Formats: sequence, C-alpha cells, structure tokens
Amino acid sequence: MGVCIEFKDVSYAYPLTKKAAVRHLNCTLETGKCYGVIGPNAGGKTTFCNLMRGLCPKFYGGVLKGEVLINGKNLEDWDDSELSVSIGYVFQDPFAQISGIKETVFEEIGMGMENLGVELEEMITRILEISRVVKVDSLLQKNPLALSGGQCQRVAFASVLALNSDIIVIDEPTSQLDPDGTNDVFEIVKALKEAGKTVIIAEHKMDLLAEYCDEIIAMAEGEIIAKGPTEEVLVNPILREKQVRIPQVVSLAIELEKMGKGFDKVPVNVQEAVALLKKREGR
Amino acid sequence: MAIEVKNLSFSYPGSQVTAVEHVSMKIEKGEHVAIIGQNGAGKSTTVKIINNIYKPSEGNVLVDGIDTRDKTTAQIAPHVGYVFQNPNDQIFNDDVVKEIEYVLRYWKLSEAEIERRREEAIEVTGIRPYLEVHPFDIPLPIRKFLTIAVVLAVGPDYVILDEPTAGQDLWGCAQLKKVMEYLKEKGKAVITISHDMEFVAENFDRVIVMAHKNVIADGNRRDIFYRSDILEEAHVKPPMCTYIAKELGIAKKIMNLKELTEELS
Amino acid sequence: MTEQEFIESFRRNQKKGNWWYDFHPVAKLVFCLALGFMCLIVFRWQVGLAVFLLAGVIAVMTPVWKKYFMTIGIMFLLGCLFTVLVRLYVHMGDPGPVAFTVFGRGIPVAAIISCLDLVFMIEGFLGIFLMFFMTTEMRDLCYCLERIGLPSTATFMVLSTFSCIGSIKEKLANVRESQRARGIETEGSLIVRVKSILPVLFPVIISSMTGIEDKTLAMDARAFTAKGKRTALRRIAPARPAEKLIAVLTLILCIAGCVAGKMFL
Repeated sequence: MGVCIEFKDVSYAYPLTKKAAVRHLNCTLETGKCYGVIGPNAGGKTTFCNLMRGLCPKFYGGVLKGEVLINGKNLEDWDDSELSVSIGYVFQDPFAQISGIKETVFEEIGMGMENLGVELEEMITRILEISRVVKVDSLLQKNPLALSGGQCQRVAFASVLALNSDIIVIDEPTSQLDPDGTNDVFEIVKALKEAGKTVIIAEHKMDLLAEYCDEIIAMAEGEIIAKGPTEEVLVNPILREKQVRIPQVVSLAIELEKMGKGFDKVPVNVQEAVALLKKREGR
Repeated sequence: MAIEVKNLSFSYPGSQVTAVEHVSMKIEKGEHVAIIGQNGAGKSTTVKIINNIYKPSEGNVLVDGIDTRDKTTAQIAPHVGYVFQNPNDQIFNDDVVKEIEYVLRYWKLSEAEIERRREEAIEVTGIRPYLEVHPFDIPLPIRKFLTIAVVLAVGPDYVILDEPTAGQDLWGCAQLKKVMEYLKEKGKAVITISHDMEFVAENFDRVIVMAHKNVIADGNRRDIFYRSDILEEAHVKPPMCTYIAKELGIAKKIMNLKELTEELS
Repeated sequence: MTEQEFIESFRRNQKKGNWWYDFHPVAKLVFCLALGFMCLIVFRWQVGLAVFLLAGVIAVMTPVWKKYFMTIGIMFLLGCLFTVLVRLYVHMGDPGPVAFTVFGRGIPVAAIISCLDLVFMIEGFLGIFLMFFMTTEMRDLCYCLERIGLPSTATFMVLSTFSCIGSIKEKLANVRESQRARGIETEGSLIVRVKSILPVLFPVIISSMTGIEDKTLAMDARAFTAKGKRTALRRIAPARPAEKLIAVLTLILCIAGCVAGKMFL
C-alpha cells in the first residue's frame, strides 16, 4: 500500500490565536485504509482534517510549520482546484452543503461534474450509480432544500463522490443526525472502503466507528497521542487518561480484564462482544 | 404542581397532516423524564407545545394549573425553560455575562438577585474559563452550555433539553451530568428528547416512548428498555449494555456498563 | 414524472411549449430592457401606453395572463392611484386651460396629461418587466449569460441570493421562537417589538455570515473553482437568428424612439 498523506512535524495556529491548534504532528496515512480520528473537542481533530484538505492555511490563513505532503507533493505546490478534486470533503452541517441553486437532487449531484466539464451521458450514468450507492435514488426528483438532515448528508456524500476523489475526509458527519441518518452515513463509509478509497473520518460516535476503521488516530490537546490498528489503540491507557471516548464494548473488555475475566481479543462491535461473552460463559 | 398534557392534537399551520394525535401525559415537579422515539414521532412538537411555542389544535396543556392558551410563549418561559439544539439561534450579545443576564434585566430583577443567579448558572455549567471570550469564539459544544446557563439563570421549574449530548465529548457529558444533578437537587423537573440511549438510561428514571404521533409507552426505564415489542414499534434500540444483557439471558435488568460488569464478575 | 421521463428531459434542450416562455432569455432580456427604458426615458403616456398594450398582448398569449393582470392591477391601485391624486392636488389651481373643477378649484389639462404620463410610464415599465420575470427562470437566464462569458461566480451569487431569501425567512422564524422561549416577547406593543429587534436580527445575521463560510467550503468541494470548460445537465437552445433579429431591431427602434420622443412629444 502506498503512502498518500504524510505529516512531517506539522504545527499550525489559526490567525489571531496565540496557542497552536496542533503541534508536532508526525504520521503517514496509507492508500485504501479507513482512519478514524478521535479525541475530545478542541483536541485538534477538525484542524487535522482541515490541514489534509488544504484549508489550513490556504482558506483560514494562519501559520503552518512543517510539511504536509499529499500524494508526495507539498500542500503549497498543489493547485487549489486540483486539490479539491483529489480530496473530497464532507462536514458536520448537512444543510450548509446544499448549494441552493439546483432544483432537484439529480442536478445537485451533477453539479461537481458540470464544473469539471464531464459529458452529459457520463454524468447521467455516474449520478444514477452514485445515487444507488448512497441510497438517494428515490429522492432524485425532490428539491434538495426540502430534505431532512440525514437525506441532505447523503446527498452531500453523493455530490462529493461524483468527483471521484481517491481520498475522502469526513468531519463529524453524524453530529446532527438521528440514529437512522447515522447508520446511513456509516453504510456509505463501508461502501467507500469497499471501493478502495482512503477515508479519514473524525467522529464521537465510537461504538460505530470502531467497526469500520482499520486504524485509529487519537488526538488530544493538539497532539497525536496514539496511532495504530484499531484494537491496539482502543485499549491503550493513554486514551482514558486524556479523556478520549472509547467504545462501550472496549470499556467492558477493559473492566473485565481488571477483574481477571478478560477476553482473548478486543471486540470492536456489540455482536463480537456478545459472541465472546457467550463463548466464555458457555451460554 | 405539574405539567398536564390533556388529549393533545396538533397540526402545523397550513398543513393537512397532524403532527401529534391524542397525546396525554403528566409530569410532576422534580421528575426526570426522557421522551424517546424516531424522528417524526411527534417528540419535538409535543415538547414545543408544552413550552407554548405552538398552541394546541385540540386538547390543552396546563403548566402548574395555567392553561398555555391564555399566555404568550414568553410568559410561560419563567415556568418552562427550553434549551434548543442550536445555540446560534439564541446568542446575540457580545459578552457571556450580558447574555446570561439579558432576560433577568429585561424582567427588571434586583442587582443582587441577578448576580446570585448568574454566578450559580456559571458555576453549574462550568463556563467560567470562557467569561472573557466572545460568545462566537467559544467552541460550539461549550456554547451549548452557555445557553443552558441562560435557562438556568431564568430558573424555571421545568427544563426541556433537546438532544443535549449531540456533539459532546466526555468532558461535555460529565458536565451535563453535573447540570442534571444540580437540577435534581433543586427539585426541578427535566424533560429531555434524546437519541442517546446510554444518556437516557443513566440519568432518567421515567421514559416515555412516542411513535406514530402518539405515546405508546410511559414507565420506568427498566421496564421500557426490556419491552422489545415497544422498542421495535418505536424503531428504537435499547442501551448497548441492556442489549448485551438480554442476549446473554441475564435475569437482572441492566441499564449501564457498571451494572453489567458487576453482573458478569 | 417517471424517473425515465425525468432523465430523458436532460437529454434535450429545455422547452416549455410556449413561444414567449421559450424565447431565448438573453434576447428576451434585451427586448424588455429596451422597451422598459424607452418608457422611462421618454416619460410620455403615448409611449407608455404602447408598451403597456404590447405587454398585455404578450401576456394573453401565455398561461400566466390571469396572474399578470391581477398583479398589474394591484400595482396600479396601490401605486399609481395614490400618486395621481397627490399630483392632482398639488397642481390644483395652476394656470392654463382647465379640464374640470373640484371643490371650486380648477384642475388644469396639463396636470391631467402629466398624470397620464406618469401612470402609463409606470404601467409600461412594470408591465414589460413583469412579463419578463414571470416567464423566465433565473437559472435559465444565468446559463445563457454564462454561455456568452459571464463568470460562474457571478451567476452563483445571483441564484443563491434567491434561495437565501427562503432560508433567511426560515432562520428568522427559528430565532424568533428561540428568543420567545427564553422570555423575550416578540409580539405586542411597539416598544416590545422594537426591543425584540436586536435579539431576533443579530443571530440571523451572524448565522448568515457563518453560513457563507460553510457554503464556500461546500462549493469548493464540488470543484467550483475548477478552470476549463463546463458542461450542463440543463441546457437552453442557443438564440435562433429570428430571436436575435427581434432583439436587435427592438433595441434600435427603442433608441430611435427615445430620440424622437424627446424631440416631438
């Protein structure tokens, strides 16, 4: 697996702030993996996403030290419009991601392709394909402004997928969604993984995140405190020390471990936990 | 002293479709109640009618004996406080202290009273480190606590929290727990709408389940979360630990991680 | 529309089936602007009446004629009638031949003519522009303007302004609800309403501004800044030679008309 994103001793401060939002970030992200970024609020997750996406410093200003390399090229050398096509971006507010200038979901999804000069027939084919993947195919004729939060977020995903980016950065997509909307988003993340995209997702909803991520990056107080395969990172005590939320099943595993009744492996979802418990209890 | 919702039905103006139908409930002073259910079940609408943002189409709502039809929303606010999901819909002062004090000054309370309420609200919500920060520079999850402080300073007997744990990290959830404990201590009633079943199971003894614009169940959390038929009808999942306990066939009714680990050890 | 029909509609140029609706938006704009400004510049009832009648004839050939006549009628009653009465009152008793007397004072013919000039200038100007806006979609006009070189950022600004209005209205309603829920009255006496202006307007303005930042990021994520050729799902047929001819001829005639009108009328 090649390396697609590299952070070399990156520190960044937003304009008019004294304290750096992130400090001395060093990590490499490999193509095709799904990375979960977790940690307390104001810990640097959003800044990390913004750095990858090139928004810091290009959009927000501020001071960047160190190097961020996307596909081997320094962020500064990337053309803005090429970067926005190479790296897709979905963020928290579902309603803000609707353009408001297209009257149907179909046209909304097609907007990115129109901007890139894709031919008509190819546009139509891609829109139909993508709308099936994100499950908005029944909404194609609806006005995007009349959709619910969950539906808007799916349309936002579709609009970004239409650009065929290889890397997708997703910043807390389910904060404002109900459980159904949340599940839909994670199904999309699963589909992205299966399509071989590199996915970086910042989230609080640990119980779902753990199941889909290959690796976890834990951030607190502006630094990366742990990075590695999901099961390894989640049981790392530094997470609990720095107030990073972990999935309930992992907390259960840790508590049982303390009582000498630990599991053979760390469960990442509730089905695994139940299976491990049933095996152990002989039920 | 209670909120009584009597046979409430409501349709939004201009809509043929009813949003809630024949909903009845009684919430006593000091009770902590969670209303759960899928989006569209009528939870937000019911709660906004309790707060008198909307008037009932049929039936009525009595707050401590006062019929909400006879009062404006702002007149009910001293009795029923509502913490909205989006703090940006409420904050308009350039100073945290001014924001908390605004309505108290609007009502012309005494300086001493204003100071007492303000300090208590700041203490409980933990926003003291942000007093010198411009409200819109405060991170969004903490801005939520500013709007909670605004409501606490008003001092209503019934406080409605709309999805309070959305976007909150561990610190935020712990601070929220402190707010809930404070409200319990002061004998205030809390009504919450939440999709976070762990939060509900941890803090609320009574759970009301809504589905199809109606109340389908109203009882103790230990009973409700073990009624699979009701949860399925409402399209709601139980807390994870409850689910695990059920799958393992544990007889005792488990509500949270602590109880589960005790049972398994 | 079935999905198949819907998708098929993008494979053809967009057409509505009415000659005026389908008239090329830019040619239509030139046509209407020329006529409208001629009314304004010449400011004589003969020109205004001619343009007003032309707009009426076009209206009758489209499905919106009812709405058009109702709107122009209301505009006349509200706008013109009042201005006319004021003008007549102001010029009462002026020197010159008298048309008729009211309360013993003469209304000069000159004043009547000046009123007619005003009325038909307004009706002609408004009429032709109303016929434009009622039968042309902004997105179609913007598409055609982009074809002739207008930057896409400009068209985006125009189009999103229209959708902004709807979302600002909604935001205003949400904020008003939130402030009433915390105890600030928004309805009632004048003083109460004035006091509620800042708490209601400020959050709307702030969230519109933060909304702009989010919208920019979202549009950037749709390759809005990409250079190079753009394609479109919704296409309008290029202007036919006849349409271009009509637009250019009208422009020339109107310029001549302005000159002639100023000299002879």
